[in-house]
Amino acid sequence: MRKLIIDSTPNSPKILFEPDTSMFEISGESRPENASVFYKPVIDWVKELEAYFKQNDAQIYAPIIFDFTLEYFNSTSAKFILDFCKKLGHLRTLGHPINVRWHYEEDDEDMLEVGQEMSRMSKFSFEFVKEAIL
Amino acid sequence: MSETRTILSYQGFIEFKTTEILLQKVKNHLDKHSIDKVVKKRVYNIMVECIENILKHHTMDPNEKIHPYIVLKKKDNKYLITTGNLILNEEIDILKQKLNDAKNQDRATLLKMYEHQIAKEDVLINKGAGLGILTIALKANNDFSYSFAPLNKELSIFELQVAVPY
Repeated sequence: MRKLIIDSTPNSPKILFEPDTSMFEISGESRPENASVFYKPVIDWVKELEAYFKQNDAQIYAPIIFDFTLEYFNSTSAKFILDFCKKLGHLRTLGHPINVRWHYEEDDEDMLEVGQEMSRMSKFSFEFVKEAIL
Repeated sequence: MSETRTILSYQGFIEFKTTEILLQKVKNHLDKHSIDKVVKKRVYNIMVECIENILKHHTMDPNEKIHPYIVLKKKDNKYLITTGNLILNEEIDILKQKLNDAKNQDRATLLKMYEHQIAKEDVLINKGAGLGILTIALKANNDFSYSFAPLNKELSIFELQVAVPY
């Protein structure tokens, strides 16, 4: 499993998929100028993950947890985030140990609702994590 | 008498760099005024979708006299977002149909329409995923209106106004 790290910008999220440290995160704001170009390596990565599982199935015991800590995403990004979640959901239906933790701030009910919609549409049960506002 | 306060008013050429400047201004205002986070994010969300709609769909004026515009105001306990841009007359019917389809639905139906649209395979590189109007309708609880003002045989001005109560 290779790592994928993309630094955040004011209009695109941080992508941190780091197998060595077991950290898999998408965080920040997502409204890149071209969402299809931005998310291509992310979608390619999850496709490779499926191939990796096929080759190394017996060696994977610990769950892989994907943390989504998104401040905001636009409608085009939503399409790609959903595609990504659907692919994770597919891997889980194949029996691979994958979880999604969808983080939202306690006073941001829209982010919770949109996460619930993402979970429902990707047919994949997310864990919802309410973050306290300090 | 209700007071109207203009937070942002821009008319001119719009490219991706312009959207960064406009959105930063909106963010600064929303951060400075301690309003409810959900309202803050809905206004921001709708601003992004409205500006991106202009960016993706507006038609350039061949005479370069009429430019797109975007205005954010506060009035009667509501944020009002107004955008305007030129559109080809031949594209009006399709856009009107999309706006009417979203306008006359309840939330459950809008969510179904959203789910149907987002599941489509095709994302046009310069036109997005076709979710902008549905996202605006959902975030604004369907409180939006629009008009088409004919300019000449080829062009009209499309104006969209969206309200978010606070």
